[in-house]
Amino acid sequence: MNDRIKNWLAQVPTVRGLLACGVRFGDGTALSQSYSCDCPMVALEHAWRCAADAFEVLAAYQQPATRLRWRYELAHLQCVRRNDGILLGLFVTSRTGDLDAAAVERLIAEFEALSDDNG
Amino acid sequence: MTTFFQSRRKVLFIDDDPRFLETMSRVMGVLSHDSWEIFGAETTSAAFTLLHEQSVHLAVIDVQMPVTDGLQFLRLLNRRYPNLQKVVLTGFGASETYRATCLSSGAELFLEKPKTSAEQETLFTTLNELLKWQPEDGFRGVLRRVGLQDVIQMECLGRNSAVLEVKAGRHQGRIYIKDGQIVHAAVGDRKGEEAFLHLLGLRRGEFVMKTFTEPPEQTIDTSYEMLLMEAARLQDEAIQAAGARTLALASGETEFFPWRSGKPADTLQPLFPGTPASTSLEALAGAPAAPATTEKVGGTTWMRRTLASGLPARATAPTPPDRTRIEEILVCTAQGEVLYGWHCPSSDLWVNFLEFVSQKARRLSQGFTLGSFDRLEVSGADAHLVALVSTHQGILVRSRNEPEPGNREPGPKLEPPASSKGPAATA
Repeated sequence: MNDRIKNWLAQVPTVRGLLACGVRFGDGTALSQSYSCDCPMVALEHAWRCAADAFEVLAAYQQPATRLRWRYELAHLQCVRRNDGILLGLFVTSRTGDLDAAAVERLIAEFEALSDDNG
Repeated sequence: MTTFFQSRRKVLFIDDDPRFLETMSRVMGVLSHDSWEIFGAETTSAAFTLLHEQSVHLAVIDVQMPVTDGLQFLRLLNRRYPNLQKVVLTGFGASETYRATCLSSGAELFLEKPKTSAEQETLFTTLNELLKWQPEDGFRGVLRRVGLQDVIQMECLGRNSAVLEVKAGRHQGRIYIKDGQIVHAAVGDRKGEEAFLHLLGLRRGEFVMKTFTEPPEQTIDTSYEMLLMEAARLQDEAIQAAGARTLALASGETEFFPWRSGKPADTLQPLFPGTPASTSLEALAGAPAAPATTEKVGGTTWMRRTLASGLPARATAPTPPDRTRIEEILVCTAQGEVLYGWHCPSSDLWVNFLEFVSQKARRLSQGFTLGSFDRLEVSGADAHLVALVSTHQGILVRSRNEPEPGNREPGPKLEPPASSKGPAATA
């Protein structure tokens, strides 16, 4: 499954307003891609871990979440977690006019639909 | 290996096992090539004393110490030292819930205690990586103050000995704890229980935990449980008196929400994805029957609006494609004091969550150019949660999608506009 997701991530197309993206697997390993100098690679893995913690804490608060959005002044971090615990993180610009929201939605839908039949 | 640090990083290990502390000191010293300055504390009071004296970058805590409640200690540590990075070590496999509780109580990482040299190296690598992410000073979100009661209870439960120096304006006093019992307190001319209760009743001030020294005399022999209960009772009375005005304001069918100075109501930020910018708490709570007025409470101007008979005036509104029912609303100060709660029986729980969000939002933004944090939006299968955190207050709104329009209970409702397709997935 991890290979399938790695391949998918490697083929993520350029999307207007997408600053960085990455996946974090259940074992804590992560893969990232950055398209902006505002999102250095070295910081991304740390961000995915923080986001994963939030999913875990929410579950403990009886608020199981499938999506999180951390809204900052200049950018938003959108996180989606699959049932198998694999997390997708997307840093996108907060300027709605500069973001191809539909393309981002498509990425999320692709990630959620990736099946594990090819282990 | 660790030359990226400009100065030695100070790492504190807190564990009641002196052999483990000695091993960590030796092994981590070698692995870090002396770029770490390593401290050890066998008790929580020794840890607090050390943290007061040293600018420690990272605390590694065994939360499963036999006498001390490690989780309570972690919470205290987090509130007292929010900028200190904290890692929890456990001796055996802990449950997911326990792990999540530690994370929500301020732990950055939750790791198993190393038993082999390979595990020690892994621990070092992990901690060293974490040390690269030092929180910046100057941030404030929802971070509750550490109560003097909390620390006293902690010390007494752990059967520790310590001296607490309390300062508040012209008041300066001391509380002596010996082997888990409060034995003496003094402030000004007051001594004994009177001094103790006076010190615990101070609303402002700070305290410092110091190494135990024998008190000049023993003036208290009442159990610490009784003393803390009495202090809590007196505090409750004081809070009730101070809160009478707020309760009066909140009585009836009156809604309060923070008013951003200079911004008209229709420019307030939407609380929920999918709602227009003009939607705010008054829209979430139903149609107002009277014009809003503003009122200053503390440092915040609040909007006051008397609602209609509790049921939103929805007769003229078009039928929306989906409906969201507000289940809980909580507003608290940056110190975690609840200002307003609506259907919020577990306010303490949600204040903890807002604390977690404020800290995590800050950690998460490290290394990025994201600007200031606004809010966290959470979507589940049929529930939503929004946590707004600013330097002054935290607001939490929890809602649920209504499955059947006919089965709704009366109460504040969010009605997204007809154009909304539910929660927006993107910015």
